[in-house]
Amino acid sequence: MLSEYEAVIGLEVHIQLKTDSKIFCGCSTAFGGEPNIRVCPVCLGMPGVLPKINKRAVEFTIKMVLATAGTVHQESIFARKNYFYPDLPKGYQISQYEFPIATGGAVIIKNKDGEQKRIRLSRIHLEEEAGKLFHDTDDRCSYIDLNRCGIPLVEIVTEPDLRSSEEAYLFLSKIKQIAEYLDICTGNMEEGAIRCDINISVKSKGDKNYGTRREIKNMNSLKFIKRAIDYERDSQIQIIKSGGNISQETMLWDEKVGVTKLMRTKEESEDYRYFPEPDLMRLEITPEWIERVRKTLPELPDEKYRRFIRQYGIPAYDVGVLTSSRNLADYFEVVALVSKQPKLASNWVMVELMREIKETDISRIKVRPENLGTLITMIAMGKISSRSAKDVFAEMVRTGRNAEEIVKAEGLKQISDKAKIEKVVKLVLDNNRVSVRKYLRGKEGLFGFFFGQVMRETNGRAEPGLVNKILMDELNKRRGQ
Amino acid sequence: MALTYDDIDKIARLARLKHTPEEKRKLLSDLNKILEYMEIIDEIDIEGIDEMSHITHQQTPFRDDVVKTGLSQKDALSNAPKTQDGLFVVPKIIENQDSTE
Ligand SMILES: [Zn+2]
Repeated sequence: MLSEYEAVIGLEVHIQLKTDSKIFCGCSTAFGGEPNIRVCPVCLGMPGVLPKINKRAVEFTIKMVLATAGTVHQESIFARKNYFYPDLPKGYQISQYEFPIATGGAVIIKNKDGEQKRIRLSRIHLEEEAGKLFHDTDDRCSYIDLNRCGIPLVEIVTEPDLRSSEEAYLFLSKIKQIAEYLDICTGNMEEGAIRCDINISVKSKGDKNYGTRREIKNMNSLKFIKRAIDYERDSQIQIIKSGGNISQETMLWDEKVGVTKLMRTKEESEDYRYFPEPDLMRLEITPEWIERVRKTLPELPDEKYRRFIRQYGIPAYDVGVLTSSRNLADYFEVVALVSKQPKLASNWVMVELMREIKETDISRIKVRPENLGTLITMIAMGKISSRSAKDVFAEMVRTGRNAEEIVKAEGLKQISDKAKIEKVVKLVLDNNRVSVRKYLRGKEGLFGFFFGQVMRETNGRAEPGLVNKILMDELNKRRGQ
Repeated sequence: MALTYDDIDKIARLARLKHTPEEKRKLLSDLNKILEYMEIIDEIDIEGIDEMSHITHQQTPFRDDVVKTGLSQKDALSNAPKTQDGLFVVPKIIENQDSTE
């Protein structure tokens, strides 16, 4: 069936850089608000203006290249990509063509079985973002907001190394993760901060030649990217199986219907007439600059993953989750180091904390990681029970107060005082003489009942191990009576 | 290498322009004259000279990543033939997408 065929996929990923100002002018890159308030003669494409490149945009691009093991070229050239579209006021986009900032490099993806695959990159270049278009369904106009126009974009182009929607998903997640670690992109896909074009063809498995590819343009949701690839793969297989030919076409994903639709044929395809941008001279990136940037690189996801496994001895699955975002990984490390209980720290971060951050952002959570570390220390030292610890944590989430303070105020400290527990045990046994007799005559299942009673009397605060031992001793004492 | 009417049509389509037959005749003759003039450059001997994109050997200057105030919305829109709610208004575009590629 479908399994005789496989998809061959290459991606062009666009990442909006998180610079303060645009790539060629001083306008702000902020998101939202009124339309056309962050514009100037340069990004509006007025005649006679000159672009001047934002140094930080170049630096962010170098970071991405170094993080993906590509080669930064000492010299690169900006080029004009000419096409007419109302979201592009100049009539061309300043991009790079024959001489991009970088070529080569690779990203390692890992599937859920832990198998690794190396996805080669063909190039990374820098270009400018276009404006935003709005369409009304009922009237004959389109509307343009140029606030976005001129935000720096890094474009990452892969070799056709991906074979499934799952691999494409893993690749994009990895790029997003790396960009987030590097702190060069907000990573906010809903705001379009990461988008991609998908080149996809199908071929018989084992066939060395690739089929003719189609391109799906402008996807900005990981979920839809998966769906669009699966739909397009199946539809290409159907065409081939029914004796048809795929022609080189550009498609659009229609989310409402769940299909890819023809946007333009090869004959209608644009001729961009690239030529060197005369307003910008060659971009020089010296080896010294590259080395300076290299020194600022943070620990990257793969490195952090290996170190966590080595240093904390926690399961690979946990490490995968904990290092999925840099903020989460940093949070975990503080908890683990303060508590000196990596496994317990990992459980608490992955279960209790993750439940809380599902609804908010980790940076907005009120529980400081060192406070969670203290809470875990208290559990490990037997100062409070795990059950009370959950109540304390809920209080920490609500108020941001520290664990010790809450435990003191709420009287949640675990009871480890032998005399105190003995007193409660005796009271429970005295109040249940009939059950005690039954127990002593062999109904041993009643032990759990006594245990539960003691825990209830102490509001769950008695140290379970101690209760167990004292209860056993007390029952044995009553055997002779 | 002289241009033909097909070239004129292609360039016009890319530029989203429409011409009358009269305009096309004039454009064809003008453009061919410009090309003939450019062909004189072909006669220069460039043996042993590397391909270059810019005649200066300078590198492009950098700008620090500092936000500067640009135009007000009112000024930004002031040249536009049609606006609404702070947006530029243009004839409806068929493709339901942004263009960034
Ligand atoms: Zn501007």
